[in-house]
Amino acid sequence: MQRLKLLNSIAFRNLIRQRRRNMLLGVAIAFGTMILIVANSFSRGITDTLLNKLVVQMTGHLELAVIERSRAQNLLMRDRTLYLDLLQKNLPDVREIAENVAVFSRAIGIGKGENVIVVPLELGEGKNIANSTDAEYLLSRVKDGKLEDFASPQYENPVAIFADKAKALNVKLYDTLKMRLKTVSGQEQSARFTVVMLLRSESLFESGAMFLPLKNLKDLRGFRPNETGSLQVTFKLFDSPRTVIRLADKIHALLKPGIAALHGELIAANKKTPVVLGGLIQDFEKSTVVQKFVRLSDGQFFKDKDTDRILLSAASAESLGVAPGDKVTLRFKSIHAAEPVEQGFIVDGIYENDPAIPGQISAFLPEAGFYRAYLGDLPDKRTLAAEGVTAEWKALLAPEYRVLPRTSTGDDLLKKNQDMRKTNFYGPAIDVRTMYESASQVLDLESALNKITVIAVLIMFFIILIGVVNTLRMTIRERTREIGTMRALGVHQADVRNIFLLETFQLAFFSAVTGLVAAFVVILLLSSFTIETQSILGLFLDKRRLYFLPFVSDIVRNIVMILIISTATAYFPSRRAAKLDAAEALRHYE
Amino acid sequence: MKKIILVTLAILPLSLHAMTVDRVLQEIDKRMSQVSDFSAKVALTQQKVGQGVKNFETLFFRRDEGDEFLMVTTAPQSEKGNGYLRTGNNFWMYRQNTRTFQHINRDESINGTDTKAGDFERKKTTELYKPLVDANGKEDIVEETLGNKKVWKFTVVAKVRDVTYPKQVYWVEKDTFLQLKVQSYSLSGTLMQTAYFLKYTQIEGKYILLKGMFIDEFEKGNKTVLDISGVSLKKLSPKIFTKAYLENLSK
Repeated sequence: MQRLKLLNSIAFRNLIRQRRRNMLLGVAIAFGTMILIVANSFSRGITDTLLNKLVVQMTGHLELAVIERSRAQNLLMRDRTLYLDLLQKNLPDVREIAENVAVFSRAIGIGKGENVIVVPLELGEGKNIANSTDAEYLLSRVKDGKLEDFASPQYENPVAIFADKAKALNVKLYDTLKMRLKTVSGQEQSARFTVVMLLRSESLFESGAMFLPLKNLKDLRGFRPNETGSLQVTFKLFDSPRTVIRLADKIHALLKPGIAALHGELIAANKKTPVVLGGLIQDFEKSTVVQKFVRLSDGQFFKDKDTDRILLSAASAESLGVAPGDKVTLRFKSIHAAEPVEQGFIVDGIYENDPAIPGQISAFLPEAGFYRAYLGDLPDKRTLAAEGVTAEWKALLAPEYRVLPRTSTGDDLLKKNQDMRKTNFYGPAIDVRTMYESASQVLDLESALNKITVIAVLIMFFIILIGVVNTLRMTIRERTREIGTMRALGVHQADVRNIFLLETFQLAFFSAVTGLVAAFVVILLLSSFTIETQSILGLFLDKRRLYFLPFVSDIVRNIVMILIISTATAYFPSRRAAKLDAAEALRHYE
Repeated sequence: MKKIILVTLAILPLSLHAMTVDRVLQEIDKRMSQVSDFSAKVALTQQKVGQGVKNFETLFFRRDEGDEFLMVTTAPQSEKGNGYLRTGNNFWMYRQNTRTFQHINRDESINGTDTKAGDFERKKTTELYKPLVDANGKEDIVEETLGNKKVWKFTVVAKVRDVTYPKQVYWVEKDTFLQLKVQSYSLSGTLMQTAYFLKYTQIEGKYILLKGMFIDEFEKGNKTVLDISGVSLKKLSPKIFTKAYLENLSK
């Protein structure tokens, strides 16, 4: 230890002796360190802006979505309460579970039209209107208008819009604009809106949004009270992607679909009979189970795409006194209304009663017709008891939903959507996704930016290290007699080598620390300017300023890397110097 | 004799109004189903406020059996070679620059226009719409004159939720049951679009639309003109409705 202290102090003294040369080299290393830290911080800042502000606002940390008929753009969750319950019971530290019913629209102001995205607002009730995350967001950006106006019956469809969008639409506070949008089923909808709040946007991404109370937006889009688009979860504490992915996997594992069934009654003329309807999946006729156990005594099988055809068991047909070609009405209780709903069908065929058919099923619908009835008015009682149902029958009967496999990247997500479209499944498919899949392109961008930064800085360091090596060689050459003197005085070879290494280490260390300080000064300076831009670069700004996010781990890693590279570069020249013969070194003259 | 004349005169107005909306819709569907295999050159001129005029040209092929269709864009240059193919339950989009096929669903926009893939599905109007009736159950259908043609004017409302316009008003020529004008309304009852079917031709006894105009009533100044030319009703080979053919046509 004493020896190391001594070597250190010798190295430090040598460093001070060669001030000019070391200063130049030190400045180069400091400059390189500064660039590395600033670039890393900027890259982290972009990731934070894009991922944690942009993507989390769009998708939450975790999203539970239901896709019907492979329409990935049109998410529709028919039983919001069921899935909300699932999430609330199984996810810890949830800050918010938001209903995603946002929609792209065309807004027409006074003589001008603009594309916008209408985003739902969840505000508090009554006097507590400001008591919500969304209210806080609005209040943090309000330029003009009052939050209370959202609750006022005086204003038709009150909206908050950003000031630059208002300017583009040529509207002011309390002006009316009209919008066209699509309902959840794809129908054209239009409405008038009153601008009750003008906001100040802090990034290019924000200015395209328009905020409308959730209830208004759901009504316009045709969602029934129990329905929603998807559920987006934001957590209070967010430590790492792994935690979110683990929780998503947990929710995914909990989703276990049952066999779908419609429980109700069939009515024909004045007769009625209780019924349990099952759905036969596409290509059911190829199934050996159907060929063996669903034997028609009259009529024919329906087609996969039929939506108004039904197969009745012989018992049901007899109770109703119907034959193929006759009409029957299905009546059942839905979660959406107190009164039962009714749907009409035409009997296509009658099949013989067979004990192999899952005992409760007394009629079948084709997949298309089944899900049309099932999803159109989601039944109160909607599954079949699975006990005693064989695997072959389970594979043949329409499931409550399908669970899509978990994916980890955006490319996998795209492929999953493609595969889903190919199946043309008429029923609902549930997807549990995290922002990492939805935003994997953002992560790729961040990774690419990081790589570019590292490569650029390494190139620069390479250039600097050439300087280090050159300087060290010159130093050793000039100090050959000094080395000879040290060796003659009995200093070991290893110590001679270590003195040079320590000199380089200390130089690199002090330069790196100087570079770190300079980096923070540069960061402070660069982030003090406001940048007004409408280009895509605006996406990378936060509050219209460049945004840097230095991480201690990055800084420490960068400095350690500089120290290691500098010291490693100095090793071979130092070793060569240490191996010089003392007598020869003493005879050396420049 | 007088009694017979009086009775005839009394029931005559009734028989004049015996036409029902369902019957007109059935006739419309009949006209559409008469057109079997179809190929044509389709030109769309789209005018949007602040965006100027865009011209799209496509070659369109449709085969009755299997309700298959194939479309290849020939203009503008930026879209040239892109295409769409539907066979069975599969709907593909072809991108000429990457030479790849991508499965799409019915909500996908065609060439970035307001037309969706689902619009090309053959659907009967009678399956999608029903007559609008008043409180007394009376259908909203009247005789009118449109230009110099006698038409039935009637209102229909959607039977199902997956139609674009929940309410439409039709003007259909009395003699031929050809649609001359259709006004489409949003769910809230706002007039969104007026479509004019300006010119028809007859080929092999079947009526084919040659020119149409679609006016955006919501955002004034937007309109699209449809021109169809080079129409042929000759039977089309199933080989046309293949990925290989589409790729070849795109070159």
